Amino acid sequence: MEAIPSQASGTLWSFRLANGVARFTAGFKVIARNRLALVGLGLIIVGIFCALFAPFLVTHDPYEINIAERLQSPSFAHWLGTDFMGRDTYTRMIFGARTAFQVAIGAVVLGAMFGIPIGLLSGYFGRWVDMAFMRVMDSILAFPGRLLAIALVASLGGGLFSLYVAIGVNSIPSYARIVRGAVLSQKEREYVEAARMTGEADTFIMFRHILPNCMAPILVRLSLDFANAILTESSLSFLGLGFPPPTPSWGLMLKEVSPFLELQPWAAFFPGLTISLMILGFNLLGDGMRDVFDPRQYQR
Amino acid sequence: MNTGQPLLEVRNLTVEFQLKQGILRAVNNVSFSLAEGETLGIVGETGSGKSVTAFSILRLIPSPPGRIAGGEILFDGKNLLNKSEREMQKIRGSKISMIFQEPMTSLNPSYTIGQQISECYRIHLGDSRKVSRERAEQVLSSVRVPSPKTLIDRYPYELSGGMRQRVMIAMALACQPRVLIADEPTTALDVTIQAQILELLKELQEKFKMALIFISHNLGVVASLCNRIGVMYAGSLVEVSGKKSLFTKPLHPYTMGLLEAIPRPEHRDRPLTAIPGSICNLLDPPSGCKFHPRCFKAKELCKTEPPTLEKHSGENLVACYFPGE
Repeated sequence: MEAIPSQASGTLWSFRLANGVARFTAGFKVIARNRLALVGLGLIIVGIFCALFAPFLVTHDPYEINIAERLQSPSFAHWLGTDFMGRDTYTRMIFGARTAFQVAIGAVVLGAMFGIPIGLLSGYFGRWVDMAFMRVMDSILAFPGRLLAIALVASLGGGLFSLYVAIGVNSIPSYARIVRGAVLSQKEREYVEAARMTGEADTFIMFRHILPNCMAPILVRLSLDFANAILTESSLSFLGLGFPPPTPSWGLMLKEVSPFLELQPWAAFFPGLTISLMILGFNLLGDGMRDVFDPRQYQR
Repeated sequence: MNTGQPLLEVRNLTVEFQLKQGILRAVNNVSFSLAEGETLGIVGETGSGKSVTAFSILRLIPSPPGRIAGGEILFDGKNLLNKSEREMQKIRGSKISMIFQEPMTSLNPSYTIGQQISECYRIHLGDSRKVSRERAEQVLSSVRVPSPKTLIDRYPYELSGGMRQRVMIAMALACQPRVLIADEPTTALDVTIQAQILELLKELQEKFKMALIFISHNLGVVASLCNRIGVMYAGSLVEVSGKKSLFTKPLHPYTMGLLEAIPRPEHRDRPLTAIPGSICNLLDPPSGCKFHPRCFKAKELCKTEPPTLEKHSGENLVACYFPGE
């Protein structure tokens, strides 16, 4: 491998650092071979950047109401126009990224936090453990995802936490199933036997040995799940079940200007476009990673 | 050789697998003992129960479907079959260790060599990251890998088969076990690498003064390493003899057949002798001695009564009614 520097490269630490950097660039190069994945990654980075540095990127106050300038088209004063209360669409979109990522991260973490261990236990122990967990997962899957989210929000009330739960619970079964499948194929490998031979306990083998080797499908799922969480949050907000106004949320922005669609199409166009681009970004990255991790499929 | 109490003693070990088609007895009434620092070779065909015996000693038989149906495994006078899973975890890797057949897949692909070796120290000796890393470096240099300092940060995919097998040996030796079980450690390697690995094992065994159980289907390999050799057929130990007498005066007809079947340069004008028939179906083994359908000496008695492993001459044991020429 050209990525490995020669043994002569100074002290141990510099060797390890160089090794790490080399591996990272090698990994990035593989992803970058897939142009679409690179586009997806770019979109996501822009999104994260907006969310992180929102206050420095905006031109107005996201809550500033100016009825005199309502429903304007894009101009120098308002880059992407204004909404029905005269608030700056560009500013609210940038702050909307914060809302979107805040909800998406929470929901994805919640889904993964429960889904991954459930999949690990099911796959590793099999038999009745598998049976019990998978039937619970099946019963969650029996509900249409969006409907379950609506029902959960309705029963838990509004707020960030109930959004986490409503969106996160939906994705638990998909993590559990994916991890379970990966564990089933990994646990028959000889390195697991070798670990057992070394005298390691089951939990240690599960988390330290098997889980890292199941990371590929998990990463793909994480990326796709982000897209799903953003979309679900937008839909919930659109239905009035997400954040209350005047929170800058993409779904809510779309909803608020929908009555004025004929009067000022721009006001709905930009939030809609943002949602689409963000979801597209995560999907492209997810698909790209899948192609990289499964080279046989990639060549087809 | 067997002075005092043996280090490891297997008594009447029987292992069964519950399959859909019925019960398969993979290991049948196997007994042998191993003294401190001794090397015992176990040879036999594929499916004769060599590996299952090895895995049973560490209690690593997948259960279900496997089950140790009977017998005792005494290590230092204590029966391993009575130990709890937790006690076994303490023994595995620290007192009894094992090297596997497939070095290509026996290392975890997502950790560096150093991380995998030092794990052993962290678990059994409770060492810190730093200390365990130093120890890993030491043990790596003892298995003669070039520049262990850089190898320690490599991932398994960067190593060749021979190197990986050395790493596996280093892992198995990490905590200086008293018994090392080598389950066909050279099968997947080139002949030249094979010779190096065998040489290394011999040297390390003397250095660390451990007992070695060497499992192989290659009589030549076993001969170069072991002082005592056990021959397995269809789950039973049919002969246990000293190296010399096994090759010059084999006792069991199966051993004779095996020796006949080795190609020899001086017999190149003759067709290779083979044992007629094939290994029996373990789900439905023949009655009496399991080898009788293929045996040239088989008599009525062999068809009804299974012979037991008994002392023949000196320290040589055989399970046959008509041993020797």
